[in-house]
Amino acid sequence: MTAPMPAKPTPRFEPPTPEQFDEHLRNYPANPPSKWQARAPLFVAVALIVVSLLTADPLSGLLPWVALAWLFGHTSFRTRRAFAIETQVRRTQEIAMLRRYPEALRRGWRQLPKTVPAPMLHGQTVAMIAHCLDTMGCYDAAIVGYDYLLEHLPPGQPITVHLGVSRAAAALGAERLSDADDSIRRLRGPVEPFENSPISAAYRLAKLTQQVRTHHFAEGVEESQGLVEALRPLGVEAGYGHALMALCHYHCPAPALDIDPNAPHQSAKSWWDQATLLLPPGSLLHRFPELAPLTELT
Amino acid sequence: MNHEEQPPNDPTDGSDQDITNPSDDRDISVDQTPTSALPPFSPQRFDNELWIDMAIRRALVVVVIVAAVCLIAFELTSSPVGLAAVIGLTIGWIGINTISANVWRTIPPITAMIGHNPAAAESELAQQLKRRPLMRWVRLMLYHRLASVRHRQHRFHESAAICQAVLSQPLGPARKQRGPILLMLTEARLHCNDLAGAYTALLELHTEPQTLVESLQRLTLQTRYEVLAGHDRAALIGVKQKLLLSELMPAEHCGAMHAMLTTSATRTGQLELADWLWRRSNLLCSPEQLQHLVNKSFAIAVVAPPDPNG
Repeated sequence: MTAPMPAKPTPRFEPPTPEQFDEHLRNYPANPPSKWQARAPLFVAVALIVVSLLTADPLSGLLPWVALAWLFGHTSFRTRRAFAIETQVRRTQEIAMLRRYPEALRRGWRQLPKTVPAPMLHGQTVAMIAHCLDTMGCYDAAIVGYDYLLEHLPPGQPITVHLGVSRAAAALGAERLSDADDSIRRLRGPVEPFENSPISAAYRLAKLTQQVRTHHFAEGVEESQGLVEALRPLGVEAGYGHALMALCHYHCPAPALDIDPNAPHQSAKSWWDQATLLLPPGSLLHRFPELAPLTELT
Repeated sequence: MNHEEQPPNDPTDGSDQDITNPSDDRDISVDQTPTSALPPFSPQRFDNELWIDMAIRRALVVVVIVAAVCLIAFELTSSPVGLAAVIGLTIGWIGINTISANVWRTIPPITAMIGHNPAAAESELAQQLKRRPLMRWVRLMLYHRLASVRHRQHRFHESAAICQAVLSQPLGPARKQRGPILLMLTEARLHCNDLAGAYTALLELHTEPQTLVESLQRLTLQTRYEVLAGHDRAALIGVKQKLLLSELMPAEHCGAMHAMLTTSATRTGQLELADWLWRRSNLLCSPEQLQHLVNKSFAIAVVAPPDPNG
């Protein structure tokens, strides 16, 4: 049974709970057809031809044609259906890319049962739902999706490492600090081969988030060297990292830079300016409410 | 968000400025022909291959019709000879289609290979192109992948010629590939500094249904065309929406879009906008990335705004 969700995104729209998402995944796991199931239409066609050869009935002469029509019709139906589902999944991913998360979430939720026979599309849909939940701040539910994928995907692949980093960031969002700490430690090695990629940048951002959430501001300031370069592959989302670094400098001013008592927090201001150059302050505060004191710097 | 935008301005229109000629800086190695598994593209050979495929397939259809007429005329339809003939023709027909099906199955691995090993992809394409008869659209898709290989090898003239040849044929079940082929053609023509050709391809692109990713690629190509052609005001139309869309691109491309728009803003005297865009592009791209994208990949001489601090 599909867990109920509102028909349209409304101001009262409520995303699924972790339990609902877990139940949905248990009800609709990826289940590709077996080799025999896939070849069943061919066996039906062959059986019809054999029957036509073994019987002398005049009508049996039609059976080979019926078999061919069945085979053609069935294959064509299956292909068109697979293509339609693929198109729907791609369209939903585009909606998520355009940041219309509630709409993408609902579409993905409803599409999941249809993707059961196609493991790749199923995985893409689960990843998209988890990403939408993550971005909407439903971190616990997002972790359910990430865990499902990490359990079913082969380890060591770039996508698995990326999902692991996203999971660690979601754990930080959900204030599951020891869980996040474990994940970040375990990912240190697997992330290394992906230097200068969005994976390593997301890992760097997760580490910085951890330092802020655990109030290790001085440690954050110490590691500020090369942060701009490290976060660059994230695009405008690097702004979150710049804002967190501004917060580190705000709580732990750099003595070499913040020496003028008439202009305190110069280094924090400089990082905050960079952050707001990439992202509006509203977006920064929505994801990291602890950045609120920095708005005084503008 | 609607990701449709206006079609590009004609290069023959009065442009805002003189057309930038970046040919000195570009890395076009069209004439450097490395050791290739396939000879340089020839439209004549391309037409011949399609003709041979069609001739073999039509010959088989004629054989089927002649066989059917003979079976009916000589009343052999219910005899073992007739049954054997029908089975033989069916197997022959399936066999011929199997060649296309097998070749079609090799296309996804070839596509994946193009990114990291174009030479291996080319060897594989050379093997597959030798097989015949192929369905027309399967052969056209092989040529599309060959165009991608040439594009990757920076042999842009050849890539453009292949794309044009493929687009001149009916694509049949592969008609959805028309958009990606047009995108490649536009980019190849921009690299060859063929602005009129790029304009035509862009206009055609505006009539094709596209995915979001394709729309983003078209936006980059159109902006690049407008900046190259000196249509700076056109490049800055809807700049806010263009920037929002560019934020969906990978960081490097997003930074390159900012750099291109910086050029247009500086040239049109919108220095405040130019300064803002330039600061953003410097956060999104490293100086090396900007240099590479601007001088090699995008072939645009970026005009940075004057430094307010002197």
